[in-house]
Amino acid sequence: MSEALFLEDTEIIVFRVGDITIGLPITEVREIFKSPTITPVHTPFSYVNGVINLRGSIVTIVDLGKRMSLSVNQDVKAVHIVLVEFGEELIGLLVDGIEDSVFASSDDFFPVPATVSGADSDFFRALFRREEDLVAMLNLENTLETEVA
Amino acid sequence: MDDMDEEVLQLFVEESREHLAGIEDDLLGMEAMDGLDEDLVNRVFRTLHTIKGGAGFFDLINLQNLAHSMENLLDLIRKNELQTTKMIVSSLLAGADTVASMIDNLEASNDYDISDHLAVFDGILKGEAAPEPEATVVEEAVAVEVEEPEIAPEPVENVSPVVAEPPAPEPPATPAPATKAVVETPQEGASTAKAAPAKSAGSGDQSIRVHLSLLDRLMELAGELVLTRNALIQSVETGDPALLQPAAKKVDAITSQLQRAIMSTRMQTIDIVFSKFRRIVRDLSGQLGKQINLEILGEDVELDKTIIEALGDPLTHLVRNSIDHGLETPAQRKAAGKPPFGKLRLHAFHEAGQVVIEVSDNGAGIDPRRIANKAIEKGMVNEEEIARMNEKDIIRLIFQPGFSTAEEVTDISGRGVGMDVVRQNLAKVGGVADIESELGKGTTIRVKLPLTLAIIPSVLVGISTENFAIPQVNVVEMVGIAPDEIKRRIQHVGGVAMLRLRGELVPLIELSDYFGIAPTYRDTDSGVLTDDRRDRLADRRENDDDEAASDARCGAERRESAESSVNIVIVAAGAFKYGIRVDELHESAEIVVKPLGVHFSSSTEFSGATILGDGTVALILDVDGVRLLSGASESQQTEGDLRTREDEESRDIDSCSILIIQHAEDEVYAVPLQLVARIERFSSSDLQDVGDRKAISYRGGILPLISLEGIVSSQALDATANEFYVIVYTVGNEEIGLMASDIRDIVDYKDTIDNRTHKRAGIAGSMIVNGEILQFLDLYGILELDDPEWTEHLIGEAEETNLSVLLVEDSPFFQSQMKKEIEAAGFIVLTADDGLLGLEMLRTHPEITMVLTDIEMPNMDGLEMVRAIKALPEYAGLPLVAVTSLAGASAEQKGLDAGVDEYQIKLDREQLVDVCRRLAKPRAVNA
Repeated sequence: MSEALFLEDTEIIVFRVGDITIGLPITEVREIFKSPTITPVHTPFSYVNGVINLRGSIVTIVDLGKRMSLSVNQDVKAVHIVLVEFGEELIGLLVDGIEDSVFASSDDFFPVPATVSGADSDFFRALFRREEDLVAMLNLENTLETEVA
Repeated sequence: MDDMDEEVLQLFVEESREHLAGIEDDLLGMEAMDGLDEDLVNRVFRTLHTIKGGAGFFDLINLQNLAHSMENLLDLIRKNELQTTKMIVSSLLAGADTVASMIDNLEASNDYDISDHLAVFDGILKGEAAPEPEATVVEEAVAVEVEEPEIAPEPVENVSPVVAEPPAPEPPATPAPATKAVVETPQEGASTAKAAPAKSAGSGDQSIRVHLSLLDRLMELAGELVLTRNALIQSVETGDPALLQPAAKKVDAITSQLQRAIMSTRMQTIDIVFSKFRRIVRDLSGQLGKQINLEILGEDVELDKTIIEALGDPLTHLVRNSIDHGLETPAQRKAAGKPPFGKLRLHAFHEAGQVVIEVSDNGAGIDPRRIANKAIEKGMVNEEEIARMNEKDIIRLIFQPGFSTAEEVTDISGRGVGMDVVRQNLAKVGGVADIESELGKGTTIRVKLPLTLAIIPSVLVGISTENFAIPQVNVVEMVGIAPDEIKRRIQHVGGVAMLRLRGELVPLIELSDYFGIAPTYRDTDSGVLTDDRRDRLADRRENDDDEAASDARCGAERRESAESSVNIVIVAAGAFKYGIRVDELHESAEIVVKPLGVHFSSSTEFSGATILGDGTVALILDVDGVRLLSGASESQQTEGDLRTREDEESRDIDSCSILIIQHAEDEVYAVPLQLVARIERFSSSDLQDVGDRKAISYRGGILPLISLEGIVSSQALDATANEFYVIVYTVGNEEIGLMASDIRDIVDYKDTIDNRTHKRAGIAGSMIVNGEILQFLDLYGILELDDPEWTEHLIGEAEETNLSVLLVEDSPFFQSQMKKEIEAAGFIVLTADDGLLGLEMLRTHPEITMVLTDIEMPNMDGLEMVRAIKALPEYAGLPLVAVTSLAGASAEQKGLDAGVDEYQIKLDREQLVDVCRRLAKPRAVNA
């Protein structure tokens, strides 16, 4: 845990999934765009929403809310896609909304408690204190892990 | 090292690899040669000499030394001071492997331990040749084999036949170090053999050799494209539609030529894979004490580079299996009354637009009972299921995942990985494997491969709101079932929906049951897709009580309202056929395969995705994966009161598959299915007028259409549905589309075709199917009627010849049809109604220059007649061509065995005329 804590000074993209405010260092985000039509696909992973055509490449779309088993308000339609690099491919994270981009210094990170607003702490690597609230820093590796434990 | 040196070094590496690529074959050639072949020895010598020189220049001491000592040995051989023995060749091969490996790892080359090699070469030079290693192994293998009957037969592994696998021969006690690389355990011997060629093939990864003429061709096409682009731009600027059309056509033509030319740069001959087997077979057979003749056929067949590279491992596995488990030791073969030399054959050839690779041996074959026992033991099937399966299907069980035992030794030996892995690896490059085996006679494994991977022709289908692509290679046919036919054609057998298709029951799969797609149906009035809230097929399946069974109609049937027909795509996964019900059949297209991400790695039902013209994504179905997903099994196919497959085949020989199409309300026509290239569906709005002819934009080109209206029909095409079908067929090199309002059915028609009642221009005859009169269209005739220019343009002028052709055919319809066509090409046609009359004609008309014959005929059939003709010396060299209404591999083989020169399809006018033009030659009449 300790090594995960020591994030460097970095700019953070902050977005919302259900009730959780989640952050990713800007260096890990490739692109943010409004969700195009997603082609639904049957996979063993219920949180995989489908695939999209991103300029000629097929990109898998992961619904973060479903991934973290959050009871997402059905009325809120996930509208944005945060494109991240995972291994050798690009994966789109379906999120409810993009909030902000903030600068974080390495002193502002804290260890993750057992759960974060109902989501398992494994999905996060640290908490970041933004002025008055907390942003959970996403652990991409654990979140996109495909090995069935 | 500065840039200059770096460049020279690279050159040295490339050159050495090139030289080394041939060294293995040359060394094996030296071994096979009785006496001395100076050319071969010189070539090997020069290779090593060059490498030695280069290595010296770059201070690669180790490499230099090894090459030097090998060179010394070859020098002696060259001077005839040393006799080439198996052992010397083995040590040279091992040395060459090390040299190749050093070249691939130049930096580490000085760390290689080459002392073993050097010791061996020194030993040979000093005349202390080590004992022949092979001899030792053979002895041991024989010893092992004698004990064998006492060894309790192990459960079958992979392809293991009756012969329990002999325990791996121990390495002979202590032969000189020389033998090390080759003898050790079979595992290691093979791994060396495998690694070396794999590397040399892989090392070329980043570059490819292209013939200069091909490059010139590409340049030329690029030039043409530029010119056409200019024309296109000009026509767009001036807005002159008259200029646009030809420019568009030209772009289309050039693009497809360019595509073909560029694809061909990726093509490589399969020899790259095949050639390494000479070494593997040699080494392995030596180790196992078996005598094996390797026969390689079709090594010049070309395949996409990616496929070639992916083929190595699966093929190696199959070859190893054959040597290990299939082929017996000489003693066993003798006992079984076979020649001591086993035969292993690798054969590559083209078939139906695909490449087929056969690995066959004349070994012990596979005992289906042992496969069955093992499958039962593993819980894959139960005895009841086994009882229902035929032998072929039982043997196919070895392809099932989990069939091979996991606790096997190592995976290098080829015993740890099962055939399912082979099948999966082949599937990755679009290959399909099938197996045939006869106990005591041998085993043949057939692998069918696409020519290329980058672009695959596919059929696009719509299921609910989703689109899927099904690779054309897997599509057997598309069946549309009329509403009133549904009840009769789709039935439930054992809780599974089955389609009745020409006497066969084909299981149907409802994809929405597996893919979480909301089932929909298309409202026939509004054409709008609506959610289907009725029971899903899968739900129904669980209900097993009588009430459900009596009501158990297929989901497809329930889903479609009474007015709509059901579309089914019949696909083949290996030898297993099943149908996928689809809501919509879209066009067929050449799709570009895009990979899917890691989340799909376990989803075997998709082989990738593609992007359609409108930018949406369509997933590519892997028909094999879909089958596994659905759990449909092969045994289902044999259920019910079905004719056996053999019946089906023999029945097919003289029957004619016809496609029934509708033009207007009561006008139904039949078209011979063999002449149909594809069936497409278009919307009426796609129709364009080009000059005074109708056409449609299609695959980026223009497809000329003809309508029966005004040609053979007085009615207009019934296109009330705003949609129409196009039956695409080929004339010359061009495609023509025949418009139809509906596709009714495909049937096998066996009765006589009436060639009198309805015969007229464009109509070849008539037939009655299900109480309905069908007019049999003459696809070429209607073309002439449509526009006499077609014939001239597409078929070419008839050349008057005075050559006589004998046509033996019992069906008056086919006889008159073929006679007409061949006569039109300028030949004199004599006819006979059966084989006996045919022989009589031949006797009384010595001017006959070739014979065309049907197969199935009364009194004396075609094959009998062919055999009779072949037996008479005065007809030697007389071309004999069989004509059938259905091309089938088995029928074709029978014909070839009987002595037929060629096979042609009865109603394919071009082919018929072409074969006459090629084969009918004036011949010297024997007095």
